[in-house]
Amino acid sequence: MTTSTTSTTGALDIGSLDHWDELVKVALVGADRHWTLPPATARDPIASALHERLSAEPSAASGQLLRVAGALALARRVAWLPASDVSVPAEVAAPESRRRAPPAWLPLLERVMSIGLLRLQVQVLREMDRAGLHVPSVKLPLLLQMGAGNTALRGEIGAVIGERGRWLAKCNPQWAYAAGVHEQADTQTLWREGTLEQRRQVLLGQRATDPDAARERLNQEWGSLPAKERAALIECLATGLNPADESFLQTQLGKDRSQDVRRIAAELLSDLPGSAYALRMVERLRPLVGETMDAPMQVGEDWQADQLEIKRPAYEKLGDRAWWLFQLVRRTPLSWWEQHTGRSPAQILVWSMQSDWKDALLRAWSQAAVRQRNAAWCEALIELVDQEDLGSPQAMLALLAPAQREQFYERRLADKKYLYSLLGLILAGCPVGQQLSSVFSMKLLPILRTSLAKGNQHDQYALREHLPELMCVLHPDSLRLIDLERSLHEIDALATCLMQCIQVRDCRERLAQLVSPPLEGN
Amino acid sequence: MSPDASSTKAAQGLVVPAKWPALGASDEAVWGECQGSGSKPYQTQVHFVAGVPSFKCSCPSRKFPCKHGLALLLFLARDSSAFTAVEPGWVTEWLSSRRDRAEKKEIKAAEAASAAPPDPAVVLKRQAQRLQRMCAGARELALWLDDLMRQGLATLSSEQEQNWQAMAARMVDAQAARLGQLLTNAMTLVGQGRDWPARLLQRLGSLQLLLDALQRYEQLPASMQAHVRQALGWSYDRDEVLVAGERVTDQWRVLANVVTELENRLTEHRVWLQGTHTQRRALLLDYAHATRPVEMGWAVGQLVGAELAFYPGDQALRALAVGAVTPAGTDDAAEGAADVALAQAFAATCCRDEGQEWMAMAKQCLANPWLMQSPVCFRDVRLMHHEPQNTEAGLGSAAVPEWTLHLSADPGGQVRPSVDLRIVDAHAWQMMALSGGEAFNVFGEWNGERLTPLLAWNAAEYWAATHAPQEQ
Repeated sequence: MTTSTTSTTGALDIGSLDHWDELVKVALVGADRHWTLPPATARDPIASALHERLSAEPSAASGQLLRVAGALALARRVAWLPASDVSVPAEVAAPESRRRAPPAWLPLLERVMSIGLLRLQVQVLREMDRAGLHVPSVKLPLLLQMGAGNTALRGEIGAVIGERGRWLAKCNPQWAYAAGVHEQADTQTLWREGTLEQRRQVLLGQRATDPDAARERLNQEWGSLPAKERAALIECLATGLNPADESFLQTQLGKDRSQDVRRIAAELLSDLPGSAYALRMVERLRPLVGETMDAPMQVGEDWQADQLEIKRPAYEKLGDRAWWLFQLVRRTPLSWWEQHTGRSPAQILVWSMQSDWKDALLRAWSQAAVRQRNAAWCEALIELVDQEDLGSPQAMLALLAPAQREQFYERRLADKKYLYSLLGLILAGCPVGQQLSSVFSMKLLPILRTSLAKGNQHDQYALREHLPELMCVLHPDSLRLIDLERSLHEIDALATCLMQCIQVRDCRERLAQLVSPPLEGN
Repeated sequence: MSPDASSTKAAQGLVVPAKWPALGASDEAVWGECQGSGSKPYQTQVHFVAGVPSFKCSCPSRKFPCKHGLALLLFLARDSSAFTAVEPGWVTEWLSSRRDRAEKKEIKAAEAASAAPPDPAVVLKRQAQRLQRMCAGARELALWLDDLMRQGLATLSSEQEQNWQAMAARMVDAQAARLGQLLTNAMTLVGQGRDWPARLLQRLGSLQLLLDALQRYEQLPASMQAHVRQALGWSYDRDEVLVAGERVTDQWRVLANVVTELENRLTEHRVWLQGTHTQRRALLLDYAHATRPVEMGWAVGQLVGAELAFYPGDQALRALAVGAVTPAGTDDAAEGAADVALAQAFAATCCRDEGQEWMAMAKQCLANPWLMQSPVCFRDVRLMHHEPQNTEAGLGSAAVPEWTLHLSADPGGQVRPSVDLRIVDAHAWQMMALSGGEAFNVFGEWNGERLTPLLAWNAAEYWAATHAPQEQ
């Protein structure tokens, strides 16, 4: 604790305050040894007073040391003025371009954050964004901390924190994700000195706006990166993938030492229909596709270089030739099939049903359709995927247009035995931020009502797992049509789940109120 | 109303009709039987007097109000049609006993008001007896301290905790529990941080002065006597304050309303006020044990018309509210503008400059040498954050403080006075968010070493703390 020795009156010289350290030393050693205060100057009233006291009662008397210490400490406290510190001019937050969220939003925000359902949080934040609002500053640390723990919310959080939020994020390294990488200087430093995750974010961000420059940036650093980082960063090229990336990817496919990097390069190249890689695949496949499907008799020499797995895993159901066919087909652009056969995906599928190799084909096409994000093929495949048990249709459902998705669901509605998987599919297929259509929601309601009213333990398990999230996804018109309160009265086992559902419903209705245009000005 | 978040959540889980075999309500009360884990359902009831609820429940929970009481009210709010039962005996019994007690209280108050004041001789005798006991305890403590100082602070280690706990216990016996507490608080400093000897010496020195003052109590001026009493924790009756204390009537702006948790499940409720006309600062201090709810009201930013009675003593800060308190509704502006209006209102209350604040603080310390917390208000400060470092000093104030305030500089200066803060990270980041890198204004408590911010504001918004760390 530093003290200013200049007194407030100026005429006195309170040098005695600096004797404190001496006194502390005496205290450490012990008052048994003789001690005394340094001599006082005439103009120092405190020292004079202390000396007077000590001459009246010697320092060896009981409690003298503490007495003097107490008086001196009090004098120091009274005279205390803050020490000086060099002031570095700080960066100031930019003025807000958005409107501040009216106070009515705050309780909703708190409630939604505490309920903890991602879909609901995303919905509220997106609505806030759409309304052009920014969060009041006292809520910023809470929001930024949530985003620090949960990457899924970061996009939405970044949209509503406003300039103040971005400024705040720069002050705390934990919140750097939100600091915004749009300014040149910031991006450079992050790229040069940031963690792997930060550099990934830089690359991803730049790929959205200027993919070629991003690739160049990666290229320059390429040689100095360790294998794990190369693999992580080359994946970023999936964003904004375009034909100009081909030569870089081809080089890495050929040269890079890491198996992962080569695999990723191959996958990315297969997503570029015009690339040399894709053409090679087509060439390998072309002779096999005729009136009927044929599978390769043997493996070509250049297959391994193109990252095709030649060795069939031990547990694999497919035979060797089927496996090779599978490898070829899954890396071939789906559009080629239509060009080559002149038929639509649905027709091609029908044709493949008669083939000996249909298992390999279906599997390969399913993987390719998801990877290449081909909605048409997904639509054609979706029924078969479920029937032929080719894995979970969830990834495909997410790629379909909402109308087709709901058609798929409707075909499932009759099968009430597996409520759990039905609800799970509905939720998995509906990307975060989207909702079910009004029509489909109405069709779903009777099933929900029945399972609430008469459901057995399996149904209750399904509801407990999925109903709250389902409440986030149902169309707003349907929200009030399930009598949650009555179910709450009747079913003990689902009490917590139903309480949460009621909260979700209330939050969504509150959100709708806040967002709808007000009657008078806000 | 809820004591904590987990109670609220538990209560919400109980708002299920299946759990309540009986529910009823009348004009002044609500009751129900809640099926818990035992065989017999718990009997929960709530009595409303002028809108304020009182709870009673037969469950063994120690929280107040318990989750059953909260659930009952939540249920009532949600669906009052379910409350059909006839008033059972145990409700009538409780309500009538409450009515009796309320009547008796009124009679007693009327008697007290009309009765003669207690015989001053008796009062003085009782006080003298207590003083004697405390002096005896203080003498013992003084000898013990002297012994300690002869050996020197270097011989202390935190393993000797039992020694000073024993001494503190003896102080409790001497009706001077606060002395014991001051001792144990001081002793927790041993070994904490590099400068612990200096800080310990300061505390023990202050304690010695208190012991000295106690021995000469009779010769002290009345004002100093009052401060000694409060420092000793020798509480004043409400009546004593009303008789002896200075009365000030004003429109008071509520600057802070914080709760601190102490040991033994005690909570301390601090409300800081500043008079808009008199510029006086006042502290309302309330204690509650876990079984009694702390008084509500006094929202930060509100303007309240009241007469306060300050506790005796020069430069007294602690006060009581006398009579009714009328919130002045004039600045409850429209929802959107509330924050801005409050921010401007705060600006009006803190109009002293930095030098005057330090001077006021100095005057308070001189009047009351044992003052723990001084209210201070600074304008145009900036919040600084330093990355926490691990120094070899370990814990304690010797470590580089993480948060500091830079006070307003001399014009043209690059150097600003710097004040260390005592604040939790969550609050500090909220203040940082509020500031946006620019200057803002702060009100808080200064303990001689660090500032505990309780309120921060700028032109557009404000932040108020709800909890304060325990003073050490």
